Amino acid sequence: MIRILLVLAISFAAAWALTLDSIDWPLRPGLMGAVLLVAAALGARAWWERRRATVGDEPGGPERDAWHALVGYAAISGHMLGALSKRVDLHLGAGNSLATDTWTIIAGSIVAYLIVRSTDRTRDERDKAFHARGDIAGYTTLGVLIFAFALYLAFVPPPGLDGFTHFYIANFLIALIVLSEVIKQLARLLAYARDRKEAAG
Amino acid sequence: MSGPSPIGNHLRRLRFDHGEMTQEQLARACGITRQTIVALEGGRYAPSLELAMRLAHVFGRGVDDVFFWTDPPAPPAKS
Repeated sequence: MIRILLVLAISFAAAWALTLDSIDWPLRPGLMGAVLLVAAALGARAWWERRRATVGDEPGGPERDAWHALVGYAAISGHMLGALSKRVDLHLGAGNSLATDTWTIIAGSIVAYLIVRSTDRTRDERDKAFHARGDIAGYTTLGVLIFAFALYLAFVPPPGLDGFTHFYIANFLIALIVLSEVIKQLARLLAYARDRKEAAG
Repeated sequence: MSGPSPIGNHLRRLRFDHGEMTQEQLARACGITRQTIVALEGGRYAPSLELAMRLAHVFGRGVDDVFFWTDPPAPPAKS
């Protein structure tokens, strides 16, 4: 369980760090994020193949998908919230480089998915039960976040809303949706981890 | 879902009796993941009736031959 939280924290923090002007990345930040996602996918695939050959406790297809989604959504939400915290509205049409970086990270996440996805697409009733728990956690989180944001928009005096263009608000809402996806995948992976822990006694 | 299930099974023995069938082969025969077979054999997952019947069908047995109560519930009180 610690490992899941660690992977989540690192993915989110690394993507947030890509928005910081104080760090001089060797590549364009978006490309850097995409390369890291692809490298992580290659590492995860090699690790799971080794576990399959030696211990036989590699995750099944649906759990692999949840791992990928956790890292991907954490990276996207980390980057979006990092940019939005600087009151950048992430409007691609305005030539915003951070917006391009977000899309590059999304492209990297798609390539990473093609690397880690299992060829066995079986998803059975046990997976569906674990995924249903994730759905409940995700939708509950989404409801709470949107309600909190609505209250903020409604009751915070105007100085607190400086820079809240319609692009900013739209992208902030998207970031909240992505964040709820992170929670959904986290709940799914925790369900798998609890099950595995009980198996180990 | 997780935790010890009140329903046990003879899946491991039945696999062995059927030409040492692997977990992977049994999973494919039933359309489920190998991880679910591991959970079933570990006694921490009680399958749906449909899955229980599919598993029993693979071995040509009835559900009662494959699954059993480990902790039977008390019989209903007579009115």
